[in-house]
Amino acid sequence: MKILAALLAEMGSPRPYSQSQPLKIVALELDPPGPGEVLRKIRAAGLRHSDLSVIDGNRPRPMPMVIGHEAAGVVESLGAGVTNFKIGDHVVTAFVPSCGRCNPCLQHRPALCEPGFKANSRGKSQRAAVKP
Amino acid sequence: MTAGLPHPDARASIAPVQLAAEERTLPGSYLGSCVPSRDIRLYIEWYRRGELPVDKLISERIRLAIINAAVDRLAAGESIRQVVEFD
Repeated sequence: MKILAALLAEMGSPRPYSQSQPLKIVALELDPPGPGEVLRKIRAAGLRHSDLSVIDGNRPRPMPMVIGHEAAGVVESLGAGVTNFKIGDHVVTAFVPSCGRCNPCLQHRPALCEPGFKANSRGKSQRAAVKP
Repeated sequence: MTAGLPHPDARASIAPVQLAAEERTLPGSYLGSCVPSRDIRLYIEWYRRGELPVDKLISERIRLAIINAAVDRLAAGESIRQVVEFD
């Protein structure tokens, strides 16, 4: 499906950003939700300092990247095997993905999830990472 | 307690004698050390009871089309939290 995204092509653009326009609002093709994933329609998103840290290059990330990671929305469709959500559920994003199985997750420290940290650094999910 | 994410090259200095002589520790916290599946429902309950008025942190509600100007406001320290609203 087509989605609208704030795409960052390169870090370190000069300020003011209203002139250099580092974020481009573009239409992208999004895969349908895979196993264990849900598709949600975002209704509101917070602009965070961590977004700025990628835009100004303080926290380098692979480019290009669709940024933004604080959002609330409504579940629109379910991937295979999803039983704990239903269509229409109001949901918020967690800032870092957590697998629920690694040592930090089992110690109730999901912010330190090891696969989640790797996915966050790569800028894409594990599923996207293993696709050819 | 240290929170937030400074530049990777940022350094802080401490007097190590205090760590020993006062048995102090210096922990860090990432994302509030929160367990989202456990804690976010609590935050919502507190918000609904008026005990966690997060609305007060919202500086502006904006449209996606002006996102770059919004990043300028954030970089200049003119806004705390801007919320992009979608239809």
